[in-house]
Formats: sequence, C-alpha cells, structure tokens
Amino acid sequence: MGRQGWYLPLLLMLVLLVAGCGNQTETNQNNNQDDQTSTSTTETEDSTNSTTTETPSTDTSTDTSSTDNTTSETPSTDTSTASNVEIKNPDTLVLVNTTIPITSLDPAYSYNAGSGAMIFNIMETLIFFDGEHTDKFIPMLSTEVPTMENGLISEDSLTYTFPIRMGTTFHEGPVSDADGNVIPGSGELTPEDVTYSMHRLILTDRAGGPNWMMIEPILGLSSVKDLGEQIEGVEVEALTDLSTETLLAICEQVKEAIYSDGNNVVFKLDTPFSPFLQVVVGYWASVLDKEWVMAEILDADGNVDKKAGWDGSCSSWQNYYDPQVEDSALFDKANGTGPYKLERWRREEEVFLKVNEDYWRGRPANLNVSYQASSEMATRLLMMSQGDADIIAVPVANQDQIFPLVDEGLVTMYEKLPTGTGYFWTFNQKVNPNNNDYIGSGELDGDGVPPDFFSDVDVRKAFGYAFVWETYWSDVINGEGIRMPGPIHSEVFGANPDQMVYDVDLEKLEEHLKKAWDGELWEKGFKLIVPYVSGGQAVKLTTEIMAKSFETINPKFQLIPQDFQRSKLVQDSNTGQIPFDYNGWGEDYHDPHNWAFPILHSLGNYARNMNIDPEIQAQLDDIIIRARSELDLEKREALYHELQRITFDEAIIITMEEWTRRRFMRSWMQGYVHNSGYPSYYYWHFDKAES
Amino acid sequence: MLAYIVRRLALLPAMWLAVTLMIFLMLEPLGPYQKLALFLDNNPEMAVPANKLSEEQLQRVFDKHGLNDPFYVQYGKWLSEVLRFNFGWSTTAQAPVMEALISRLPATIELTMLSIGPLIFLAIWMGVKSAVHQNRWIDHATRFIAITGFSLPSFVFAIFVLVIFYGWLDWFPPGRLSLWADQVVFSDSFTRFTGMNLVDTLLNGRFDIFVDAIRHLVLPVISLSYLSWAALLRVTRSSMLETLKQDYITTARAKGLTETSVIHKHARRNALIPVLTLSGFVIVGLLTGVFIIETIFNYRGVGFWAVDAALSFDVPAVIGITLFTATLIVLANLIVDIFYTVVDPRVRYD
Amino acid sequence: MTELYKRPSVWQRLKKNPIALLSLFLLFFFVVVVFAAPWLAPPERACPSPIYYIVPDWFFALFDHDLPCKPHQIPRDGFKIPPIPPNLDAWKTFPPDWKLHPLGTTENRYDIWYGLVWGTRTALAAGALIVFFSFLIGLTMGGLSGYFGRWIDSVIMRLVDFMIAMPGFLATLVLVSVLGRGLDKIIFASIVFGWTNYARLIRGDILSIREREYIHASRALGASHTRLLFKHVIPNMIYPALILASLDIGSVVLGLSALSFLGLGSGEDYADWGQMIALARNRIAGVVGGSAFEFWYTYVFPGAAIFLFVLAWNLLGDTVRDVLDPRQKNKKRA
Repeated sequence: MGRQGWYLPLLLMLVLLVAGCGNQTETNQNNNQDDQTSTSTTETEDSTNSTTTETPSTDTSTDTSSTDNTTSETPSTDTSTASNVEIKNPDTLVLVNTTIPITSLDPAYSYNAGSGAMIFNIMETLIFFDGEHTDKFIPMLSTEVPTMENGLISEDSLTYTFPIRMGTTFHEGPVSDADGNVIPGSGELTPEDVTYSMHRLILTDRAGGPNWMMIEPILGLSSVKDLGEQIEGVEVEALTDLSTETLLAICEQVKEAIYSDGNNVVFKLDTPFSPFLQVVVGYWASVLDKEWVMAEILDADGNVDKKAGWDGSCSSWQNYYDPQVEDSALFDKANGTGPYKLERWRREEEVFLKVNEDYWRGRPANLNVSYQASSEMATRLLMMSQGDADIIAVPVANQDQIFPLVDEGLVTMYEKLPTGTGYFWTFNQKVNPNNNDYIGSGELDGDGVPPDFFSDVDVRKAFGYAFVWETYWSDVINGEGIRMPGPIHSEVFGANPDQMVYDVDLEKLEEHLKKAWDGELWEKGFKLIVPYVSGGQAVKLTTEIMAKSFETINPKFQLIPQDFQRSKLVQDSNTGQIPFDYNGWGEDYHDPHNWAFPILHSLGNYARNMNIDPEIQAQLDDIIIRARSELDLEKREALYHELQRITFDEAIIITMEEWTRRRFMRSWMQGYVHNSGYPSYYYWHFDKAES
Repeated sequence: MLAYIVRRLALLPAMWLAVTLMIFLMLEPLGPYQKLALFLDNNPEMAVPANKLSEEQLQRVFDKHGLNDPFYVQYGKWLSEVLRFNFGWSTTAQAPVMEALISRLPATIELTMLSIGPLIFLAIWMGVKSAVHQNRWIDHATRFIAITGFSLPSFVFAIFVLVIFYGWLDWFPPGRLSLWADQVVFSDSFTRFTGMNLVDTLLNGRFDIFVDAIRHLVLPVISLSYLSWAALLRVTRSSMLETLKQDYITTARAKGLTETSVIHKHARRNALIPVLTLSGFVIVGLLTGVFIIETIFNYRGVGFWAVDAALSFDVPAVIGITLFTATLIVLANLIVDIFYTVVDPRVRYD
Repeated sequence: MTELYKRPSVWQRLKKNPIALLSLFLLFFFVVVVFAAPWLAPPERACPSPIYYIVPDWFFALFDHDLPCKPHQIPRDGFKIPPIPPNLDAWKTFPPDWKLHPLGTTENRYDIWYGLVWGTRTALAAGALIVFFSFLIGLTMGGLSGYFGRWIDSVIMRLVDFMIAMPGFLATLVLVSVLGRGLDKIIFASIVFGWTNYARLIRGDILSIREREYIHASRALGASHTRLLFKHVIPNMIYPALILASLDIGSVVLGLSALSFLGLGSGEDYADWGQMIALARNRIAGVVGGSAFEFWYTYVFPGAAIFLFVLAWNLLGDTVRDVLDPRQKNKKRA
C-alpha cells in the first residue's frame, strides 16, 4: 500500500455513507411529506388560517424539517410510488420554467411578458381584467371603471377620470426621513402616487421600453424627444441637445395632461383614443409609492439597499430618461399593493413571492410562489411527476411526453388557451440588394430573384397558395393554434372571421405563377433563400412545406430555408434585406389598433420594411388612423374589415396561426383562470387541493 | 525560482490584454446592427425584436453603447471601465459581471473541490497499482473502467445517472438544494457565510440541510470526477509502465531493494512527471466538465452561467468568465511547473 | 534493415493481443462504414460525382461551393415531432432501407440509421483532421521549445500559456457564438486551441530527457542538433505523446459531440452524432409516468456509436503503447 493507499478505503466509506444518507433522508423526507399532507388537509380547508406566518422562523418548511427525527418507520421503496398522490409543498406553488425571463421589475422599464408576469402579481393598476374577459374591467386602485355612462369619460372622450381607492397600503409600509419621521403620504395610496407613476412612465421613455404606449394617447407623439422638438421647433440628435427650458416645458406639459383633482386622477388625451383603457390596464401602468421610490433606503449595515429614484420634480427628470437597466432604482426592488410581496429574486435561479396577508381585496392569496428555472426538459418532467413542481413549461415539441401523466390524472391539461400572439409572413416588395444573402443572382434568371420580386401581386398570391395549413397545423405546431384571419387577431374586436385566407391550391398556384412577371417567371423559375434563426424550427418547416408545393409544380421554383445567426438577421431585417420573412407579433394591449398599426402602417414595425406600393400604403395608413379615433363601434369595425379585405386581395402578408397554448399543472392545482391579457399566471386565483 | 514566478505572474496583465483584444477583434466584423443583439433581452421568447424599435430608438441605443464608434474607441472605453473593476452588465445573470461571478463561484468551488480530491488520489493510486500488476485482473478491471469512462460522452453519462437516480430511484435530485431547504437557506434566520452549502449548513448547525446538499452533490461530483479520472489514470499507468522499464529501476531491483521501496521511492516519483503535465490538462478538463455537468444537473455555478452566456451572446459575461478562467489556469500551470522542480530536481528554471 | 524487422514484430504482437484485435476490428468496421456509406444509406438525391460522397460538404462550404447534393443532410420524414421506434421489417434486406427507419428516428423525425452512417464519416474526418494538425503543430512547437530552451522556449511557452489559459472548450464556445455555428468553425477552433497540450507534454518530456546522461554524453561527443533531436530525443519522448494523440482522436470526437450537444454544431439535420444526441436530449426521461426508457433508441444508438468509436481509439492507443515499447524490443533483440 502506498502513501495514498489509505485514501481509497476512506473514500469508499464516504461514498457508502453518502449513499446511506441518501436512503435515510429519503425515508425522512417521505415521512415528512406524510406529515405535511396530514396537516395540509386541515390547512387547505381553512386556508387563511394556515398562512398567517409573520416571523420567518415559523416558515412551514422549517417546521417540518425539524420534525424529521421523530419518525422513520416506513421503508423508502414503497413511498416513491405513493408520493405521487400526496400534495407536496402544500402552501407553496412551485413553477418551473425554462428560464427566469425577467429583465427588470421596474414597470416603466420592462417590456416583456416575463417581467410583467412578476410585476402584475406584486403591483396593481387602476383597473384590471374581469376574470377571463379581455374587454371587461373591474376597478382596482380606482374605485370605478370609467365609462361614458358613469360620466368618468368625458363627452368628447378626451378626459378620463379615475376615483382613487384612498388608503390602500403598500407592502413596504411608510418610509421615514433621515430624522426618523414618517414622510406623510408614504406607504398609503394617494392620487399623487398615481400621477407620479404615470409621469414617470412617460418621462423615462426607454428605447425598447413600454413607455410609448402611454406617450401615444397622451402626447399624440411617439417619443418624449419628439415633444421637445415640437416645443423647440428644431430637430435634435439627442434629448440632451434640448435647452433646459424645453426640458422643463416637456415635464410640465406631461404634468398638465395627467393630474390629481381631489381624490381623483384625470388623464387628458391628445386625440380620442379608443383603446385607452387597454393601455391603463397593462402592468407598465402599475402604481408605485412615490415617497418610497424617491427615498434612498439603507439596510441594517448602513449600505444602500435601494437607490433613490426620481423625486417627481421637473428639474431632474432628464437624469432618469432612457436608463440603463441597472440604473433604475426599481430594477430588483418592488413595492406594490398587490396580493404578493417580492421576497427575493435570485436572478436566473428563482423568484419567491410571499403572500401579502393584508391584501385589500379581502382574501389574501392561498399559496406562496416559487418560480424556478430549469433548462433541461427531462428535469422539469421528472419534477412534475415527482410532485416537486406544480406547473412546468412544456414546449410544443415535447408535449407527447407529458400526455401519459395527463391520462393518469396526475396532470391537468388546459387546451386551446388563447394568447395575444399571431404569426405571419411578410413580403419586402423592394429589398436592399447590397450584400444581399437571400436573392441569389439578384435577377430573374432561375438562379435568384430580382430585388423587387414581390412587387408583383401574382408572386405574392402564389406564395399564399403554396402554404398547406393542414400539414402545418397538425405537424409543425402540433394542433396548437387557429388560423389568423388577417392582420387582426381573431379574439380582438374588428377581426372578420369570415374573411378568406390563403391555403394550398395547386391550380391557383400554377395560374398565378404563369401570370407573374408577364410569364417570364414561369419560364425561368426562381431561387429564394428563406432565413431562419438557428433553432427556429417552425420557420424552416413552413418553408419546406411551401417549397414542396412549388416543387410539385416545377423543380425550377426553389425555396430554400437556411439558418443564420440571430444577430445577422437583426441586422438584415433592419437594413431591409430579407425578401420573405416570418414574423410574430405579441400584442401589447387588446385592441385592433395594436395589430393594424405595427403590421400595416407605414411607420409600423413591419410595414416599415415592406415597401408596399405607395398608393395602397396611403390607403392603409388612412384607414388605420381613422379607425384609431373612431368612437362608433360599428363604423370602426367596418374600417378594420376593409383593412383585412385589402390585406387579402393584395396579399400583403400571409397569415399563419394565432398561437393557442396548452398549459400543464398538477391536478391538485385549483382555480386556474386564463386571460390572454395577463402576461402570465395570476397566482391569486390558485389553491392546492385534491380534486 | 522566485524570479521565475515573478516573471510568469508579470505576464498575466499582458495575457488579459491579449485575451480581451482577441474577443473584441472577433466582434469587430459584426456591424452595429449585429452588435445590437448584445443589448436585446436574451430570451428569444420574450425578446423585443430590433424591428420593434423605431429608427430614433435604434439610433439612441447605438449612441448609448457607442456601437458606431471605431474599434479602438470601443475597446478603450471598455478598458477604462474595467480598470475601475466594472466588467459591465451581464444580461443572462441580470447583474454586474463581477458580482454575478462572485455569487456563483462558491457553488463551482464546492463542486470541483469535492471532485478533485478523489479524482487525483484515486487515479494515481489505481494507475500505479494497475501498472505494477500489469496484465493481471486488477489491471484489466481498472483499464476497463477507465476506458469505458473515457469513451462515454459526459452528457450522456450524466443524463443516464439522472434518469436512474432521480427519475427511477429518486435518491439524488438535480439542482443545489431541495425547495424546503432552499427556503431555509435563503431566509433571514440562516447566515450564508461562504455561499458553499456544505460549509454554511454546518456553521449554522443545520445537519438536515447538510445531508440535502450532499444528496444534490453526489451525481454531479461522480459525473465530473469520473470522466477526468479515467484520463488521469490511463496516463499514470502508462507513464508508470514506462518508468518501471527504465534501467535504474532494474538496477534498484538488482540491488535487492524491496518491491515496495522500488515502486514508491524510485519509480512513482519519476512516473509522475508526465502525469504532472497532464494535471494542467485535468484542470482544463474539470473546467470543461463543469460547463456541461452544471448545465445538465441544473447546478447554478460559473459553468452553467458560462454556457448560458455564450449561447445568448452575453459578451460582457463571456469576457469576464474567460478572464477569470484564464487567470485561474495560468496560476494552476505555474503551480504545476513549480511542482516539476520538486518531483524532478533535474528540471530547473533559471 | 531494422525497419524491415520491426514491422512484422509489431503486427505479431498486436495479433496476440485480443484487445488490440478488438479495437482494430472496430476501427476497420468504422472505416468500412465510411467508404460504404453511399451504399448503406443512399442519399435521396444521387450525387453527380463521387467527390461529393467522399469530401464532407462543410469542406466545400469553406470555398462557397454550391453543392448539387448534400449527402450529410439527414432527410426528415414528414413534419411531425415525436420519434418513431425502430422498424424490424426494414432489416429484411441488407442494407436496410433507411426510409423504413431500421433504427427508428430522433425527435423531429430524422432517420437514425442514415444519421449514424453518414455521421461516422463526419466523426472520422473531423477527428483525424483536428488531431493531425494539432499534433503536428504541437510536436514542432514543443520540440523546439523543450530542446533549445532559452528565449525560444520563453516565446513559445508564453504563447502556449496564452492559448492554454483559454480552455479550448470555452474558446470554441466564444468563437462559435460570435462567428456563427458550424462544424468548420468548431474544427478550426479545435486546431487553434488544441495543439498546446501536445506542445506542453512534449516539452516536459524533452526537458527531462535532455538532462539524461546519454544526451549529455552525445553532446559532449559533438553530436549535431539534428542528430540529437531525431536520433535520441524524439524517439525517447514520442511514445507518451503518441498515446495522448491517439487518445485524442477519441476525445476530440467527444469534444465535438459535446459542442454539438450544446447547439453549436452544423445544424440539427447534419449527420453528426453529437447533434443526434442533442435531438434526444429532451427524450432522455422517456414518458414520465410510463416507461422511463420509452425513447431508448434516440440516445442509445448515437451514444453507442460515439462510445464504440472513442473506445476503439482508446483501446488501440493503450495496447499500441504497450506493444511498441522500445526497451522491450531492445531486450528481445538482445
């Protein structure tokens, strides 16, 4: 035996010990779970009682683990099958997603469903969605939902008045100043908190943030800088180029548009804007405690725990304009009036939301929420089957693996849940031919396409008739989705469900191909590269489906999917190089304007790069702007139907599916309410109990 | 010797410069639009597509991050920030790079420290054993295990053990702690001294959580050490065989020294020279293993973060992690070089 | 003369070693698969010239060559997602008809048989290319550095330090995430960052060898650098280096598969074993609540292919080292 020889037996012992410990804890844990369930039956019957835990030490998990040592009788092997039926973690909802998709907890900064999912559980808006309805509202921090009938929307629909629910308390309570005196108005909801939050939303105007949604109806412009230019009368490079007076004037103009009046908050709109309530209901319009945001808060050691935010004055707002994510005082801090308090956000690992016991709506939430991330599908599936996770993310591609659990009754599947997301193909009718990787030779010679290939309506129609919806629906998206009728989502007001859409028709395909480019295309054929982001399966497969249709007509018509780096595609779509591109739009708010404008308006995100025929574009722009301010619902609907008709006749876009999702949760999860207006789950509804 | 060490350490800053310059140079061919992807949210499901930005907003992002600046200006700006210990913001970690690195390091240290001990001692001991008993059953058995280990892709091995020990037997779950333990560890009543769960739980006197932490460590440690262990063992064995055939060993035997004395006093020491060279390789292997193993076991350490960052184009994080690992490896190799002189006095660095 | 004598001797010894025979058989098997690929799994569209069968298509891609056929692209069966289990009917003929899926399909319906056959070619070509070039660079650099010492050593070793300090895996990860994915980029990165290990190992050996008495003796006798290098130093240190290199064809393929597994390879329809395992990644837990091993074929077959391939190289490296030991031969001759 060598000098190191002693190490091996020691190591072996260690391994055995650990394995032994593994077994032991197994027994303990399962007993533990037995304990938990025996108490949980009483707990769930009287859910409000069980969750009155004030001090951290009475955390239930601490309790159960300390009872570990008392019993260890049942053999470990039996319990593994039995454990499927017990409710694990009876007072916590464990959700395992692929990632923690939070950018920031600042409602005026973040602009994605992932951040919104946390924000709207912690903070609240003036009004909120009523159950699963996306167009009916209930009062939240406002005591009434403004309507024409109750007079809170003015006759000219330019003024919206919200009576504030005075005295609603914020999670963090009152804030003290340096001398230890409580700052008046802090910790409680006041009309100033509401106006401050809205001013802040407008004035921070982050590039790529949600701010434009409030800027558009209030200022009638697309950015705060535009307002400055309007006041000063000159165009400037950046906001900092504006004079101090102009900066002051911007802020004052915003404050004049949104102000408090007694216990009310008044919004004055620039022009009538029918979707305004949809803007107010979004998480970006969450109400903050002004005094708390302003204050610098120190932790026990005297270090800065929370930075000081904007103090609401017109002289300093520009310092908070277009912030970097880490500069926001609210990046990882949240203080709201909602059913949940933010306990901790461990970045990409976990978010823990604790029940707000003093929730003003009467009933506090039933379950704490632990939102975790695991990128491994196998891990998530196993956690679900072991009961360690209550809700998991299951990508379309892997849903067949979870169906057995659904059949067994362990997992409940919710199907066909509408989402505010739609997919479509756009044509760029005049691409930028410089260094273009997609158009081959750049000429109509069978080895590429000319830059203005899609300016011929017959080509566009041919592409529409090459698409096979049936195959796409059943195979590619696994039955998740319904056909999008036009540029407007079918769940949204203004969509015409009877509008024709393009679907495979080989005769028409041939007919249009023969007509296109005065028959030249039919002779020469074409070769077009369709880009997709590495890993973007749906795009590749859709292209292949279309390619197959073209190939049946004649192999001269070549449609070739090719993968590119995401960064490369970002560049090429912005420089207008991609002729035929797959796009998706997730609505910001539930109104046809939020669909029509980005997709079809010449300033919209997509049409901007589509180079639609000027005559048709002018027609589209006109309809979109008229429909935005149209208050007569019938007329408004007619306008949107017209828009949809033009889109079809001119084959401006080829619509694909509206994503309807499936959601999977353990069958003990009760009370799920789906609303496509929610960024994600609204945990307040949930409860855990055997069905 | 001291001069040699100082000389080697003095090269570190030069290397930092070279590494970062290289990464910046690699980024250079990307235009400002492509670099834009650096500042978009990293999750494609939630990303704000760049065409959701208006032209004015795009320009604002370009200006803010200096994307239109020439290469040396961008690099200079970045460098001046780094000199103030600001490595930038990691979009994947949602924190400053340094902070994120420091918070993830304990997890990885815990994992590698637990793996490296058994790895090195077991490998050397068994390698020597195997060589001494060449072509006996113990040699065949060791070689068989080693070769199997070395030939099996780490990710396949890792997922297999996960399915067996978690999915089927439910002994060793993935992650770092169970949910209940997580809640305790991150509550106010628990002090996190080091961030290493095994140490912290003992200091807090929570043996139940200590056991829980061990259960979560077993599979990653086995997967991580098993794979490098095989390589190290093979090299120890072959180098030991080589040494045993040297003439001076024959001489030693001829002198009438006992076999134990020959092997441990004379042969092993020399056999360890190639092994030492390999230990640098083993360290790199461990680091590489950490990337894959942490990803598969959902074990949130530096490796998990590195893969996430690289796949999401989180360049500040990639630079930070690269610099860190690079420094680590330079130091490790320096130590290996110093060890050379200890093991083989004929090797000098002057 | 000695050369003529050595060769039969090595072969005789290898022949007696069952492990060596096994590994040689395995390698022979893989080589056969490489050359018989167009027959074992004929591509959907026949290639106009045999060159397209022999040279991997990423090689053409390097020169922006437009390919008339892509044998390395695994055909997809329809657009559905869940894997199809192996079909035994396909085995009634040999070679089995891959369109019937003799070994089943992966997720997204890529045929496993087709992928394995053409993936063998990918693995062998990539592995050999990487090892050959990195060993060559490593031998030169390490040899120069270790033998001459002084400033040459300093310069080369600083370069090595620099390269080694950037672990090849991380370097490849960085490179590929910036330059874009693809096998050609991985291969390039692997060579650029792969030679340093050999260089260090060879230098370490030479450092030790050049201090040995017989080198001192020959130098004192006035032997030239070249003679010393080729007659004494290199033969003495090349064997450990050779082991490492032979080990590395295996581990290089492992490394490639790991990178493919993480999503940096040539795209999911490219015939590459690691890529195929990546496609099985989500299937490894089977049907939870049903059989845990429901989709065994998606990872067992590609896993076995990598395993056997690497195993073959490792076994060979191991036995060849034992057999080719110079001192043993000397003894025998003596």
